[in-house]
Amino acid sequence: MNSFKIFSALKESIKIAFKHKLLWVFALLVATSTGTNVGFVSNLIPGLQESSDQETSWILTPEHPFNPQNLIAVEAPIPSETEGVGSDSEEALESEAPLESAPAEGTPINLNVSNYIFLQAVQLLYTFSVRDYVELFKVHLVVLGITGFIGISAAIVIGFVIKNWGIASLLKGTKMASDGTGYKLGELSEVGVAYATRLFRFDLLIFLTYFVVSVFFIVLIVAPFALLPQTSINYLIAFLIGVVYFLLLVSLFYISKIGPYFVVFEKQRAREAIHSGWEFFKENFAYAILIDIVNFVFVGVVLMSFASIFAAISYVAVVAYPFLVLFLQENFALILPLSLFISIFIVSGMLLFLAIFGFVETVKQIMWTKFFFSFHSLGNPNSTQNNSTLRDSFVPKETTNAA
Amino acid sequence: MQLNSSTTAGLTRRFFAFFLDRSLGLAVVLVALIIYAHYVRPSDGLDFIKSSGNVLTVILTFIFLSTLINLLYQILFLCKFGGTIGKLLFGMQVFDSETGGFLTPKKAFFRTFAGYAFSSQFMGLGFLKINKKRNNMAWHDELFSTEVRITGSIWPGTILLLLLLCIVLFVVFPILISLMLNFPVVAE
Repeated sequence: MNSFKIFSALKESIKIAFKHKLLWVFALLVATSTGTNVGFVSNLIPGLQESSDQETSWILTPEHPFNPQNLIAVEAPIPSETEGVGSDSEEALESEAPLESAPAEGTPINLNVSNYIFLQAVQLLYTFSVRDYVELFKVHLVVLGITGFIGISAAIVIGFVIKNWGIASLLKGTKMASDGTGYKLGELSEVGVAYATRLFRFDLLIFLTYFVVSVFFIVLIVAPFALLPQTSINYLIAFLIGVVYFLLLVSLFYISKIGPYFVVFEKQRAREAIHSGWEFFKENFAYAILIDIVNFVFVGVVLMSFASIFAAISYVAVVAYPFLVLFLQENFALILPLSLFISIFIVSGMLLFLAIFGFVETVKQIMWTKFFFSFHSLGNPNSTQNNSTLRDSFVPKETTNAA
Repeated sequence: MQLNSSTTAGLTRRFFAFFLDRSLGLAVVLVALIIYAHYVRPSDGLDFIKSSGNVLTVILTFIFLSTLINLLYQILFLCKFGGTIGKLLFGMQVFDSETGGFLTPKKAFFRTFAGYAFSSQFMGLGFLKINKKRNNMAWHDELFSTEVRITGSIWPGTILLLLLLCIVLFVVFPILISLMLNFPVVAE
């Protein structure tokens, strides 16, 4: 068995990563890219990204603070009682004391346009039932459903293709950097373009496998409880099945990490790469898990160091804030240079964080590349078990491995 | 053809072309919103709901399909004309430095999506590289072997940009302000 010294590999990976800063950009892109295009829609709608994190109650009762009647009552009293909740006719709508008729003439009202539109929207939501909306907009809902599905699917596909372009380029880059050979951006990108779609198919297969395995095992775990009386044997069986399920998930996770190497360097197809990845993982699972642990500790130490420095600076800033305010009251002219300094400091901090993040991601990837090439020699069908058999069964002759 | 920085476009020209592209995109949305605000009033009751629904459906459809529209627009214009409207009006075209012609659809796709995503990392460092690199190449140009060459004058783009600025200042803002002032509650 090959010997692979993890800590010396880590040391070497750090050195290589530090030298090849362009790889940080690829690593950063890969680490953040699945969201780039999916987030495109939310980028277009201001506030959507922020509001998606907040929970909003859509149940409107007469006592609800969002009930427009309650809100209006604060601003200006409504002369007449309003209709009940859920009245859905046009007459009911009109008799709901439209907002513009509420205030008495000459009464000053502190209600700006956005508040007004918001109140109107809430009023309409409040008065209309879901059935009304569906009735009114059923054609629209169908159109939106179809276009939404097409648009979001396209955005996801594009996002994944870009991510896989980045992965293929990064793998090639880490290999060339490890070998000590120089490279140009164009060279790496060529590899990325060549394998982006194949890696996308690989991703898709992995996702489908995850899905099928999960459904199968969840049914397997839940079914005995639904069909049989609940005994301790049932729990034991469920636990054992759960353990098998967990092991399968772990295996799939590592296959998804190792498989791209077979796609990029052995020119294997998606299904073949999954099988080769499995064979490779089976042979070297202890090292794979160990590498992940070492990577995890390394990333944790680096990021925690950064976070502690950041926390220390923040603490100093919070403590110094009252003194700073007092100081600026006496030296008002210093506000501008100080604001400039703080802005530059924040931007530098963000850039530093991105650089550190890119660096650690690159180190991780170089570790995996070193690990892969320590146990697998390119073009050697015996280096991973059953490769040739698999290749014969899945891959057409012209595409068989020719590294 | 031997290229040097005098025949390839620099950062300023490319920035304004990008700005014009975005402004044109925004102008379309703004015009739609003005039409909406002008003709659709909350006081219209049920008609308001219906017309809001229509406009909302159109806007949402546009947003949902924006990635695809952007994809088609970029690929079509880059492959057929050598640049987006902004680039063309600022007298620039994107060429494949390997073949000398316009980009293939595949290259245009990767340049636009993967290349721009790559250049945007580290707060757009890849774009700033334009002024540093030989032949004014951004990272996305280096990645896909493309060059943005100067093929015409900057004046059409500049004039359009100034025109858009004037329209925003002297037409759009007054319309928006008058719409806001004429809103029922504020008028009260």
